[in-house]
Amino acid sequence: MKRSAWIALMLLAGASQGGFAAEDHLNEQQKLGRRLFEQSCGVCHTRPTLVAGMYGPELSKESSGGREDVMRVIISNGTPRMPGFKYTFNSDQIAAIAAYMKTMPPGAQDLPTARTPTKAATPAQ
Amino acid sequence: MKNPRNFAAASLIALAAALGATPFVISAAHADALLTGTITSTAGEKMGGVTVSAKAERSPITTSVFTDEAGNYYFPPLPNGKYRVWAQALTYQAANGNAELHKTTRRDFVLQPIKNQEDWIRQLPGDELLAALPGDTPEDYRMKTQVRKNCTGCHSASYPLQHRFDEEGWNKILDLMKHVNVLGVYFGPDHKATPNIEFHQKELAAYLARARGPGESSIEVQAAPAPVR
Repeated sequence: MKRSAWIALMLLAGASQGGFAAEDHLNEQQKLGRRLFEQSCGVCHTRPTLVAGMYGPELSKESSGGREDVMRVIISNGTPRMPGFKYTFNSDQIAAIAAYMKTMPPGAQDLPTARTPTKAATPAQ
Repeated sequence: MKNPRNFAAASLIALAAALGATPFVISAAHADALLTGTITSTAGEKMGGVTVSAKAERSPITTSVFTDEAGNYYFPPLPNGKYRVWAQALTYQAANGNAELHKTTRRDFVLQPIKNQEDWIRQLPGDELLAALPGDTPEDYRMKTQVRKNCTGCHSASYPLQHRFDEEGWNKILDLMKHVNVLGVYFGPDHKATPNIEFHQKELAAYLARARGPGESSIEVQAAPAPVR
């Protein structure tokens, strides 16, 4: 009884902490950038489903050679496949998107790899 | 845990631990604080139909009520605690405040009208924005119908129309959208393009650039859909 009760307590403690553990370390500019990114950029630069393809490349802090000034120019003027956002966003908003991109780790949009099924443990004889 | 009694005892301890780990569950029992107030415009008019919302600190729950014809709002009894309170109405800027509830508390708000048309357009719901698109000439009416048929089947008109692009930019958007299904999945350039978008693409891009482009907008925003006063 004692052991099972302790296990249950530890599991619950972990679960209840998990709900409050997702702390947000972004500053105000990065938070604005995240909101604008999710609203306007995500449609092409994130996967609509876990396995679907994307129209645009994955974006991260390493995009545009990791240069924030180049990111701002591309967001403003676009590329041959992407419209420029200079008529939609002002310079502060464009800078906020670039600042948020500098917080994005590469590989976040990688396709999940297939897991090798683990062999079930042989029951003790 | 072979003994069912042991399992029951462990479950009871776990339940007690869960309740102890979530203080707001306990505080929800003390739901005797009332939050009330009045919403007025900067012109001093009492505003009916305004949405007023309250959210307790660390709680995932937002409670919203509407003001009556006299501009007054009354929340049902809420658990004691610190709250963020805000009021919002179409064509007005949202007003924000805080309240610490442990007894009946008043929070009055004065709503400022939005003066910038761009901010106003972005606040409009999709149906209002679609209705505001130009459609007086046969050509414009045809394009307005195309926007409704090709775009609003999958997303609100306010999603694309929150953006402003020149004609080239809208063409790039349509290049994508004609290869996307209702779930937003892109099928690649070899996928057969949606014929309706492909056929109207050039005209549609020009129409959208006139409505939501760099120049003066052809959108005709009707009288403010303000709340009942």
